Amino acid sequence: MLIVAGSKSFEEARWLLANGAAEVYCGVPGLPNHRDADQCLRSDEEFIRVARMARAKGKRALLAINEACFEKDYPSVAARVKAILKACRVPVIIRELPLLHYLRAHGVKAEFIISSLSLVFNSRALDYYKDLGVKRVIFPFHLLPSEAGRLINNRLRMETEIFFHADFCCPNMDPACRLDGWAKTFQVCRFPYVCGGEAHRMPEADVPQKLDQVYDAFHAGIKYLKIIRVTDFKDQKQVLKEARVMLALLERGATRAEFRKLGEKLYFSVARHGARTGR
Amino acid sequence: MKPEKALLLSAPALRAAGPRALTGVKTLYLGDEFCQNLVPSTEDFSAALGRFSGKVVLVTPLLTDAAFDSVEEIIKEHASPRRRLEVVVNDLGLLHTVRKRYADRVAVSLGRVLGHRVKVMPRAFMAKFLKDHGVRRVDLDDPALLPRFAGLGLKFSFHHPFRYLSVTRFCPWEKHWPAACGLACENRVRKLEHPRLPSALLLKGQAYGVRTGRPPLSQAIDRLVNEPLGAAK
Repeated sequence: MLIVAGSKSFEEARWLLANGAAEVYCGVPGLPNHRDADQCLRSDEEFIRVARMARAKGKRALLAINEACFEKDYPSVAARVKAILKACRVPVIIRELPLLHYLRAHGVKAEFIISSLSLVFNSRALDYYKDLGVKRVIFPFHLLPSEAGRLINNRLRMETEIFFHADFCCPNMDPACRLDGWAKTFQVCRFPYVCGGEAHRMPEADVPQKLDQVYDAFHAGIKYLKIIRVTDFKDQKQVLKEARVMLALLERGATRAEFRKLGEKLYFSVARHGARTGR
Repeated sequence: MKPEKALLLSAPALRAAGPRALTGVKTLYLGDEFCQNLVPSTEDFSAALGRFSGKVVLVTPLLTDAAFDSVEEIIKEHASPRRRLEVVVNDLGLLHTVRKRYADRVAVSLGRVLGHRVKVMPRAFMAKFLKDHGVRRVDLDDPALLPRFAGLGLKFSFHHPFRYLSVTRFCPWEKHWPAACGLACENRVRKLEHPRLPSALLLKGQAYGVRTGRPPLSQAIDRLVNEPLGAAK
């Protein structure tokens, strides 16, 4: 599997590419993406520098426009994406259908990657995207590789990507969640609730369950392993190292039990302070 | 005109329902918008048609390929150009497949999960998207969304007294992914409280939401879908 790591700066991208990432993905301020501006590169120019640096190393940068935006902004988004693609041919991670159609209709020729936020859960959904220049689909972390055989081996030959542990993501399905908007505060899904007089948290997969996802993804033939952008780059460095060790273990033919054993040990040795998406 | 009365039941809930559960109901919504384990099998669907003389609407959530196959089986078995089957759709793959293969046999209603993706589409794109996919009806639980879909020739089904706010596929009842389901959520609702929330959150199946009051009075709503909550604990 190839590692795809989110990056917030040229320096981070350089470190990630030098330390095992095959691709880095980045957002830039003003282009709709699933992070606040301070978790993006500083400018389009910085993205172009990252893309050229990646290319010089035989690797790739991906441009993330994985968020919705207002229709009035479509022309400027298309113009900026076009200019970036003119300077460096990179794949574009996209979420919203109307924006994808708009970009295609306005001459943006790119390899598109469908964001996990598009909630593609079955191979039939790929048919919708087949004539739209889509080359890869990122699985929502709520979809297990064991449920996705036909998606992974799809007849359209789209590549597939999966999260390396979704620790920094919301426990619920992000694009289908309106808790924060309703409560007018952040991370409502992480609140310590009381239910019938007892403490209650919104549950999410435990470590063995997360490790199984990676193990199954490797054996099912998923090509890319995604490490998301997080607030503290020190955390991300550790997670990247952890992912490399785990991949090496899989490549050496580790059994599920061996993978789980080392995986759990490593998992708890890595700091995970979380992502701040601002949503 | 008075809105038609519908009742939403999952397949296990219908199996467990007593003989009077469907009294006064004109339309039965069978399935679930949030969990694929609560979607009926073809046998469940046949049994519902045998038991209930009114209209039966198939309700579907986001679908893996395996769940997709079950839904498609029901469509193949129970839908025809002469007797169109109404399906509440929350999955883009299903929406697209219905358009390509079953447009003459299926009447599509836009589900609440997919509806939240569609509501942010630019107006002209949304109108074309809905028309191209044969969407004639929208399922809603939030009156604030009515204006977003107004003026497009759509009918509205309004769900009450549960308004969904979030959904997971990691079962909050049994704490595992969907494959092995013991139906621990059946006939149960949990009430989650926290001082920073405007009201208690309810956990129903794999959806979190809130209890709502009386449905809004609107000419656009021609169907009220009762989503039983029972006593939340």
